[in-house]
Amino acid sequence: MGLERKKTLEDHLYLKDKFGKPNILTVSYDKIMNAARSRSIWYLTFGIACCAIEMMATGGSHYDLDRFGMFFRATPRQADLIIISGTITRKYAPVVQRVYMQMAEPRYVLAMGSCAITGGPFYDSYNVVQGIDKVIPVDVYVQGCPARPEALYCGLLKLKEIINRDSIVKKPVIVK
Amino acid sequence: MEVKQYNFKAVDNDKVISLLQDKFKSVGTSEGNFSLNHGQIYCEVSKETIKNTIKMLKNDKDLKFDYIKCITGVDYKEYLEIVYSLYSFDNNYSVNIKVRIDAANPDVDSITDVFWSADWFEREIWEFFGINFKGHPNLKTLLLPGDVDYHPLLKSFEIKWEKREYVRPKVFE
Repeated sequence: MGLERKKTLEDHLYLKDKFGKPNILTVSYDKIMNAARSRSIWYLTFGIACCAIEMMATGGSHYDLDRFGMFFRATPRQADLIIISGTITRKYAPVVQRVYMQMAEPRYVLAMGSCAITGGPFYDSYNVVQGIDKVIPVDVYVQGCPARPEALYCGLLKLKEIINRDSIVKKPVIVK
Repeated sequence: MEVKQYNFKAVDNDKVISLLQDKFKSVGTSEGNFSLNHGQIYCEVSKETIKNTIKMLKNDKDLKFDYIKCITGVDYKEYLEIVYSLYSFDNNYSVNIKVRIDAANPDVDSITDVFWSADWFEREIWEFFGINFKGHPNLKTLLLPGDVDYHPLLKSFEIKWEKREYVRPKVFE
């Protein structure tokens, strides 16, 4: 108490003066684009297994991903990110691949939980793919079984760093 | 509106067993080994008469087993077995019919003509145990991808490492 200086009327007038005038922002294109893109990561409404419950909790009001500008989008055409939140069976893998192909570039993939990373407890199964990176290229791996919302946060902030490193000058590497 | 009143447990085990023994004779099924397990009736019938037996159990006025709960496949190594779990809504009673199937030549008549809902049960048993259901209209894989040539729930099943590797299809690229 008492440590903060009380804002006076002059302070407010100063701010009003500053933003009242037309202003010019001089910045590199990469920086402003990446700032915009990394603060509006829209991810696909795509839940597979129990990790999806944690993903929903992360998007819900308690953990509240909305404050980072991240929202669920119900169509791959509008999504930047796909969170693979569960076991990928051999029958389901082509479906995931198809959804990924429908997303517009630049697109990012986050493998959430041990099933999506290596197959997890179902590694030796006859019907489980040993990791989503056998199907589509992955940017961020988040470990856990299932991954906690805090872990997913960490992964998404890592993804933000990856997006901030992107540039329009360099041609993006498309992994086939 | 008139609500139908059900007589819960209108029949008991002994009555059902004696009824079944009578009715089985009418369709030419051998009497079968009746046994009680956890309060449920199990009986074995022969492979040839299974379709007629199920049809009789469904259409019979006394028994009225008009709902098929589940069809289960079992592998006993020497032989395979299918368990048909039937339920009667009117009598609130269930019965389990077992059929023993030769492991070397596994096939049995399909009961999709009698119970339409047996379709997916039979497809699942077909893909996991390799039991061929004669007369099934749509015998293709249900849970496994379409190109598999193995039956994973058999005791003899052992998958090779190459089979586990996922090969990415090129259709979307």
